[in-house]
Amino acid sequence: MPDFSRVLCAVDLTDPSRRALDCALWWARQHGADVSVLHVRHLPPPPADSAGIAGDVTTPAPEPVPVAAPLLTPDQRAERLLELEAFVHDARTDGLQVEVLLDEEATVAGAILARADALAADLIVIGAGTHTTSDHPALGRVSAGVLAGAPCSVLVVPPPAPDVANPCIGGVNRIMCAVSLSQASVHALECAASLAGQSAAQLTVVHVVEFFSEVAALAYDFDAHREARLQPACDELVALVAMVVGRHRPVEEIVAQGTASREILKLAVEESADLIVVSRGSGAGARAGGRHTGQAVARDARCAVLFVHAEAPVPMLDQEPLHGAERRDAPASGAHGLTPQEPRRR
Amino acid sequence: MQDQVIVRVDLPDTTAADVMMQVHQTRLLIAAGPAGAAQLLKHLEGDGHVVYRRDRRTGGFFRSVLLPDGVNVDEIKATMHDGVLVVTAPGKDRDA
Repeated sequence: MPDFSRVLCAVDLTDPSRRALDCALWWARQHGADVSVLHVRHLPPPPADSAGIAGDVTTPAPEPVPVAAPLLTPDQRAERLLELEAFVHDARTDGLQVEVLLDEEATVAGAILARADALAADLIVIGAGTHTTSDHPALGRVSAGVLAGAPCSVLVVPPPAPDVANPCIGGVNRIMCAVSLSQASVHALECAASLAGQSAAQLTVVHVVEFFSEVAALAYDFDAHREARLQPACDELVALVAMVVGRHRPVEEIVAQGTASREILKLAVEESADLIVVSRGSGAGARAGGRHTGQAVARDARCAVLFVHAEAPVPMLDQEPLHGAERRDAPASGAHGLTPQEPRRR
Repeated sequence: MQDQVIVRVDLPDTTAADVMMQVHQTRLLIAAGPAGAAQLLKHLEGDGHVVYRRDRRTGGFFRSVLLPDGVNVDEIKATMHDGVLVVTAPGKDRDA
């Protein structure tokens, strides 16, 4: 059962962060959590020419220099806190324990992470903060920084738009959990299954098999190679769902092929998912549920994305005794899904 | 001498009447229930990113399986017994 009793929501007093705040308050209400709302006043770094080049061989590394912008005076700080409190109390806070916090740091993501650590937060809620300053939209720098270093789970909320799901209004009816079949996936799926149970939501578990990086090397028999990877993926997904969710609870299992983030996003739209759940920073790289895939999903998702923090190691699937017993009783060709056998001679 | 491919699918609470199979290009498509049929249709329309789908709520099932070279698709046979679908795809005679 996931514990989300301490929620930290980072806001920058914009409309997108208001949606993040609404989601944080809604989430806290669902889980009986306390909420800390943090605004970090960004202190710009000093001009480059004022400090020289740190570490330059001809210039000794300078002593730490004060940031360019001065800290707020007590009066300015009190005024900014009032502004923050007004922002928070415009939202629905009834029945919730909410505190507002104001920090001033040169690194916003670092300040959020430090607060999360100090508060022992179970969940950080933050807006996706996507921007399009380059040719390709990217996850906001602050959001990406928080995702990279968070000591807990992170809920990334997309900016409000007509086609973006708003759990604060419609609740969570459909949860999609994207798994990489790694150890971290077990935590993500446990969390997704628990949330689905609490919300009486439909649960879909997705695994994407990626081939694009192997095409060149395997062009001589790509179809056979693809099939050799797809079948084990189907079997592993079935086994993972059976172990974590159980065999009889309503759940949908999907194995797709393609680029993980693209397929997850496509399926989330097809399934009208209100929430996507992935594991956070499993080191799986581009695999589904891995850090890079997760960030790409959070960047373009039309619903909130929950990155589940894996706190403790869990048994690997092939070490699970329940399945060992079940597999002994299963037909040699597999009890779940289907198992094509290699061509054989008569 | 010939090769054959055998595919087994566990489809509890499904009757033979609910199962659809089709060979499309080099793949054998198997579907059960309306949700599976919808997925099969999408696959035929060119949207082949989903290769396996099982929905315990609706009983829908879909699976796309690559058929190796040399399979005689005109002789594919399937039986359904106790919720287990067995599809047998014989190979072409090597000497033919």
